[in-house]
Amino acid sequence: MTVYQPLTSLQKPTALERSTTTFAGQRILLRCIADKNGEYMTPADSQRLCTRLGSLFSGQGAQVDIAPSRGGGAPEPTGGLRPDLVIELTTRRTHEENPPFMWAVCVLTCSIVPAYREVSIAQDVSIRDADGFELASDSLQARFVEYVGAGIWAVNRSLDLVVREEKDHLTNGAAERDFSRDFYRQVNQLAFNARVRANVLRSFEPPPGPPKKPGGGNP
Amino acid sequence: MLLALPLLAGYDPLPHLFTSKDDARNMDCRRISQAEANALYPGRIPEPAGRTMAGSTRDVLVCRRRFVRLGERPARDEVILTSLRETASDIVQAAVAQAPAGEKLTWHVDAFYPSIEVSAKIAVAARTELAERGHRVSDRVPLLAAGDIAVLARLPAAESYAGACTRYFAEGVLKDGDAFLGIMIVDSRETQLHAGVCVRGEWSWFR
Repeated sequence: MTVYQPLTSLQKPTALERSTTTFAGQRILLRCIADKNGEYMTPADSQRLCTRLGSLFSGQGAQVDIAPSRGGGAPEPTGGLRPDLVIELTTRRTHEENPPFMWAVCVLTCSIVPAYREVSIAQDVSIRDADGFELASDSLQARFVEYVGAGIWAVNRSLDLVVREEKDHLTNGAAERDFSRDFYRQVNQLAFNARVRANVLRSFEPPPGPPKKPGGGNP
Repeated sequence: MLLALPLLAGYDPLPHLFTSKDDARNMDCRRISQAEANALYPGRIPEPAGRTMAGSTRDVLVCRRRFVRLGERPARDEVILTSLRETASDIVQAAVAQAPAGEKLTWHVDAFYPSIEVSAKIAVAARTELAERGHRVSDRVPLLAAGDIAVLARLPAAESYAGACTRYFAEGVLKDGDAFLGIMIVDSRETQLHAGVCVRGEWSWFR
């Protein structure tokens, strides 16, 4: 059974409701970077994250491209066009605790006393324009405590079924659901804030088009 | 006993039997190093050991209960007010950098926000920040004639603030030596503040 606790920024309220037109006409380039050792998030995981974020934004009218997870440097033009927003996500583990004696006690008590493993992670989100100017950034931090033991699972499952309201359930994938809801909501709001800030900083002028090719203009 | 386990090691803000998810979300928690925690809470967190094993670091999860519970204020107000001090500081720092160098200006500040109460708090935070940095700040909010306001209110944000800036100086509401700092939201769905400066009838957005 995994229990999730939002730390920095993840529980902030958001004012943006999802709509099919929120990002209409926006070109978004996503880059999800795996952690250095690939322990918490492998390149495949990071690509999966980018794919899900891509669905989030394309469902709101954006044209989304996903960049390879490795490497940095300037953003690549998407389909020959400059992206309006370049969203980069980096995952890092900020804390891990896995006391071996609790596993020993867990085994000795036939898992009546649970073992636990605690991990805190940070998803650093940085949103830039095509020139690399940072429009918005945040570090979304979460804490997960995984309890292993038949006793603790049985008690909490029973409480979920009998006592707790659905929003307070702790078993049956509640941690993943709650974290996903918080995470996508925050990234969505951050991207919208970045979009508005880009507009303001351009003094509401339309975004510049692709650079003209030399000799490509009319005589 | 199983359910009390999270409590045996001291208070843990995780949701469990006695802490609902709502209660857990109303704690602001962050991880800090043991040395930092010792400096903040010397009686409760021991000093870090002089020697530690290579690669081992200890940190502390520090939590404090929110003054205003989530959901008691509208979402956007909550986000704006929670970080108002930092935002006002950033805005003022950038505004001062925008103003002509070497000129002693008198700053006028106004905030444009749907809630009058929040609007007043934003303006006061910016004025206080300006005064703390040693700038001359006016309590007076520059006002335009009713006709100007009626016209400007119908314009989009792109034109209305620049238009108001021009009118302030044309009507003599503001003079050379005055600077106007406007702080606002431009879209009801965003949770951030923007700002622009008006000096000598010229409006410029900087945030």
